[in-house]
Amino acid sequence: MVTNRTTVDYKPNNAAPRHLVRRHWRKLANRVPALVGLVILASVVCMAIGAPLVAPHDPFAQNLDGRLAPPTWAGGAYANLLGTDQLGRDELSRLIFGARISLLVGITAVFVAGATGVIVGLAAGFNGGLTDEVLMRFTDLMLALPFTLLIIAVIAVFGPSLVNVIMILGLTGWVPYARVVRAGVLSIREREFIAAAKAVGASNLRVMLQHILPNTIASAIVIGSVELANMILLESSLSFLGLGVQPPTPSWGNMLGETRNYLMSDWWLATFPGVAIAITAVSINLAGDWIRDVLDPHLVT
Amino acid sequence: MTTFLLRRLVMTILMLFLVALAVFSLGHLSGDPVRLMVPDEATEQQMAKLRHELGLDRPLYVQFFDFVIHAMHGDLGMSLRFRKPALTLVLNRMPATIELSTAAMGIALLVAIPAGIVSATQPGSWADTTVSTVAITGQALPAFWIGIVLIILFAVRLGWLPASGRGDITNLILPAVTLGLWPMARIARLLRSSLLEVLQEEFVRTARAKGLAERIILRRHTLRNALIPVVTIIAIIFGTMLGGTVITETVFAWPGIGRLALEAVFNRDFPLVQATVFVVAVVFVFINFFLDLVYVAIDPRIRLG
Repeated sequence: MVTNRTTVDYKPNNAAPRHLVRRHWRKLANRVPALVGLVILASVVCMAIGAPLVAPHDPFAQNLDGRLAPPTWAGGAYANLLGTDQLGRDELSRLIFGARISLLVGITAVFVAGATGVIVGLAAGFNGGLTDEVLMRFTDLMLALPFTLLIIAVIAVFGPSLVNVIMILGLTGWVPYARVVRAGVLSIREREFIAAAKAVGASNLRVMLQHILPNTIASAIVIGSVELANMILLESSLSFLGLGVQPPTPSWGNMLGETRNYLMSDWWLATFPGVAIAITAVSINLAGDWIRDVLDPHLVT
Repeated sequence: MTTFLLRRLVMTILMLFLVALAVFSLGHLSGDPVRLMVPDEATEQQMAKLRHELGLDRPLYVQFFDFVIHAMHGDLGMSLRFRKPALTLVLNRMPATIELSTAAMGIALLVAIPAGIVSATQPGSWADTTVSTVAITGQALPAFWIGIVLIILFAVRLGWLPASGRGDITNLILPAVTLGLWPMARIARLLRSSLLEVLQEEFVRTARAKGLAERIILRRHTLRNALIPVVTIIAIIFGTMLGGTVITETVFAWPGIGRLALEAVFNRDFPLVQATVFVVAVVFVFINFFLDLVYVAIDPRIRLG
């Protein structure tokens, strides 16, 4: 205990964030919605990672005798808790494996977009002048193009696939990060500690990465938590339209797209993938509200 | 004010140029635009011939210049599938999309503005909680799924409204609600937070101190200020919505440009895809310009400054 305290005393820099985290953990217990969001999100992630262990059946196994079976409580067999689709594949198992795609696309797209946006924002804010002007006009252009339509057009060029969807979502979604990071850089750039770092001879790159980036990254993370839900929604929309992840790989979006002709008569096919998307997106948003309050309470999202 | 408008006008023209550049580049993203137009089994000779016919063997800047000149004359190329000018096809489908998105935005504003006001003026009340919960959920629901659920509920089960197609007002209700739900949630949340912020201002306290009725404070002092960030974001929301029409139009078989674009993608009709993106982007640039004018109208600081 004593040694612990001395280290904290010697490094006051570390004391502040650790204290902050502990305080917010304690506060989290009082925030039911955020807690619920985090718990649901954690279970979805666990389910996705352990899909082969959790899923009761092979998501690709067809059983043409048992096509379009309703969920157990609506008169279906016990083997298929949430019923089967038009090829007799187990709906529950496909949902569980579908979580992998949604999270994979969502998280990687957020990383690609976040990294691009942070680099653009840092470059624009730090260099100022012409670089800033050009990059910001480019950002305006990105906002002026109708997003979904642009994504669809790009997919028309490159063809639909998992990697293409991730890259396209990532490379079109960097604008909010760039804006928020640039604004942060502009306010930090003129502070004394930056001038001090420059005075002792730190290179521009070092100033940017060591001193400015850590002070602006919080708002980028907050944007990321909001964008994660958006990316998951976008992926499901693209897959629904047939432009995203291709069947037979199950994704929540293409499960709805593939069974389009059966949706009206067999309600379970229409219900469960949508509910899965909605629950995941809502819990990300709830958890995101908490992340914002911890990291950057002033940012309006 | 003239300088402001002039600046915006110059910006708008610059944006139009950049839009043209972006749409032109789309075709060249894959390296060879001809690949996008021919079936997979086409021979190298056939491709070379087509490339020459379409002028795709000329230098890129010549092609771009050509593209801009043609676009200014309203020529965006021929649809490969329909053998008709792409622009005509897009413009024919335009009224349906305008009808749908205007209705959707109308519904969104009609619900979101009162909802935002109620939840901001009575923070913490049951009304506020309801609005916030519904708004958070509304933003998390995928539009295509809402559409499917609405069809199952109101068209298949209850039989009150038609499930698809375009016709009278009953056809419009379900797709407009589907498309309007996301902007509704977004606007309500934004108006709430921006109104809450304005209500903290000192001039509101002054207005209260001199005994003005809350209703008048809201109308004269707070709402105007709170609407400024909302108007700025409506432009972005409109853009998202124009994209959202692709999904809504597909679900409801609505004959607008969103579905046209999607069909064009599946038919490998690239000129038509390009024309759709171009037209929508141009419309969007103009919407932005007009929203700037609205901005001037509600914020005197810009008008006078």
